[in-house]
Amino acid sequence: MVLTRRRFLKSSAVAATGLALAACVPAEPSVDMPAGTGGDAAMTEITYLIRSDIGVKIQEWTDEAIADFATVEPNITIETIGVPWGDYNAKLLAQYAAGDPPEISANYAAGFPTFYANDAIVALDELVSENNVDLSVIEQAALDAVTRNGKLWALPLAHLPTIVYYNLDALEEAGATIPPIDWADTSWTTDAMLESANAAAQDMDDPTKAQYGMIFGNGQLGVFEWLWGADPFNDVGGPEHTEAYKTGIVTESFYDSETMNNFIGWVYDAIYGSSPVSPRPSDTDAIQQLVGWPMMSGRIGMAINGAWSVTNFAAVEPSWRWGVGAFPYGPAGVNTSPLFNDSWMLGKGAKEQDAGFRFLQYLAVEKGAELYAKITGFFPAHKENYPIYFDSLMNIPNFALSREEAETALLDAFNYGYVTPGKTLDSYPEWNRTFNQTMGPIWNAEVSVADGLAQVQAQFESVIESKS
Amino acid sequence: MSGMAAVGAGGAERPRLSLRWREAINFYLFLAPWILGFLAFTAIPIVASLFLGFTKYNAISPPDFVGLKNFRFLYNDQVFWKSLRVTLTYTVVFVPLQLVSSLLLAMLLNLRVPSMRTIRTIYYLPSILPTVVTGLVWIWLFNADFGLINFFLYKAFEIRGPNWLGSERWVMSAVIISGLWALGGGVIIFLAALQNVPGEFYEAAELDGANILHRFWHVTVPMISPVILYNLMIAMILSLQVFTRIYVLTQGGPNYASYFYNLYVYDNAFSYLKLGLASAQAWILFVLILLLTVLALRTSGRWVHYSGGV
Repeated sequence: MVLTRRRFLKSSAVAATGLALAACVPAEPSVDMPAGTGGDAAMTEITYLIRSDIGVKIQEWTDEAIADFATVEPNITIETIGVPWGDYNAKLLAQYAAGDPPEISANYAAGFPTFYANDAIVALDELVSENNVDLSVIEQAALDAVTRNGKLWALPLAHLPTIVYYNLDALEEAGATIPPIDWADTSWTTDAMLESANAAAQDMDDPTKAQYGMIFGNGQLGVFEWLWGADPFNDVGGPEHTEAYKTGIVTESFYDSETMNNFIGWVYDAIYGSSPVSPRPSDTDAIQQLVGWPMMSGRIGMAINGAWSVTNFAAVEPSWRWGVGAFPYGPAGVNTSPLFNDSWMLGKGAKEQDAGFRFLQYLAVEKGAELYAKITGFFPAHKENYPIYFDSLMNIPNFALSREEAETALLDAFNYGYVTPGKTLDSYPEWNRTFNQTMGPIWNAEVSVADGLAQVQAQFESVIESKS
Repeated sequence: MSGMAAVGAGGAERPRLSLRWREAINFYLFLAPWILGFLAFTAIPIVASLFLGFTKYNAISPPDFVGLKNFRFLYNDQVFWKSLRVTLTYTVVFVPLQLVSSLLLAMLLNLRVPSMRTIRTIYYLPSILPTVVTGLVWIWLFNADFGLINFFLYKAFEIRGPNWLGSERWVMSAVIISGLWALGGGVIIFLAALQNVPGEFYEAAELDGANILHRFWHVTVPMISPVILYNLMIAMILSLQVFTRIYVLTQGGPNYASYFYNLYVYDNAFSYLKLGLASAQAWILFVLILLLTVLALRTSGRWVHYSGGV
């Protein structure tokens, strides 16, 4: 056949169109097939959305778990999609919008309550029963946190209290009180902590040299108010009185209450008062940019954070001795610690429900959970894996507590805890944005605490009204 | 063989397409990849977003038609008006500053001095650096206690600099300053325009006794006025769509003082699961940009000089 100009042009055009269409076809999955299963027609592929920004340990755990799962279930392959926290929701939503939700995702970002409220996840009770999954190995409080209307909507892997971290060398050198491990020790109060921070604080006038006494913070949506015996979403008392934590729906807020003023005023004074002990936000930002979590700079005496921050010590391996202690008792005589959980969900509408649940089961109650406790440094929800977690914890350099002390400090926390709003409220990112935006002027000392909280309350009322 | 190409199996001659038709088919075949891409990634999403603007849609459940409810909600939403005010304030201040700075820089880079090519390259570099990276650098520069800007202010003038990114009063200034750093795109276009102004115009003006300011105002500006219009419209559109830099620098804070419109659209769509509302917002922005562009074009007849007399 003679190749005329016209034929050449036509063939080129057809080839170009073909290539363009071919580019629209999804690529082959990049996951390696388990040995000996290549080409098997019964292979099932599931998609697993993971976070890519919480350290190499999570990636290491994911890789090991998937490799091990392939030996247990050779006919199921896992395609992992890694996205950072900030994009987790967007990616998850895009997958739902495309009609191809991942089989497995975690309750990061918008979290389980939002996906529950939007009917996006599968109730797991039937699958648990069909597969004879023994849930008694999982911490009951963690299961309760993902139970709504009597049904279980996710399987928790991590269950994390809020605790006090401290730089033992800095506190000892200053002669400051060391946070106790005993959660029943009522002498460890917010005032005692402030006194200890005062002793540890040095050179507070010079941010380049300052040794800060403590970073206290406000907790998610200001829930450290619990220590003052109140909660932002009820006007009766602590979190147990807040209906929104049970339903997920916020219908009222009380940010301009006297207790919230007292609590925020106390933290504000620690930053801007006559004898400050905490860094200003701009100092915190600067330290954060250098070392991530400011505690790791070695310039902070004590810091409050979730138990996941143990992973920072494992990664940084500080040269100074450090420890963990109980949450302090507040003016109301309680030391309610916000509890976090990381739970994994099965996407409604995902194609491979059974295979997805099989993998979920593996991650939550089988070898996957064991590897999670061993590798990630996150406190496991699987009770039988506690020893594995503590083995890892004791290997972190310069950890100043004995194993027994560490167990007391972390395990007893659950008896004093309540699940944090980020894991209970529908539309948490919206509440969180509203809170953080409107609290800015207070933390930057641009308005008085009372005026600032009045603005916070007004903005919350506006959002609540818009949702009603 | 070639002469028999049109003879079919039954021996009857297949009707041949006219040259016009064959060319049309070839034309569309070649265009097909682009048309498909345009339909899939631009046209259909635009139409779909218009429809979604009238629905309650969270990407998980099917869209639920709600009429004008999204637009009514936005009308009563304080954050919507605040984000619009922030964006328009930024545009009104930033666009003239950007145009003037770009033009002045282009004029400097149009001088005949040694190593000018290298200097031009250096000035263009900020425009090709990733916004996320430069945003992180700006966070450092603006830090109230450790930042170079406040350090310089203190060392040079003994002024205690403000909390640039943490203060409602100062954050917009910080955002504008960080935006003015990357002028490369506009500068390149101005530079090309300046180099196209015929030298004899300046010579004639000089002979008539025009000083440097007269030459700039009566020769340069009219001659490059179409490019000024182009840069004005592009700068205006981009200013109304600022997102990445703000996302990195301030996340819209404090107290929504830098909460740009597109950040609110993003939050509504991907953080709050309100894709219907976000679509309505996107259409409001589209109409706003359209109106401002038409306004700029309509008024351009008074100050834009086309050498061809157009």
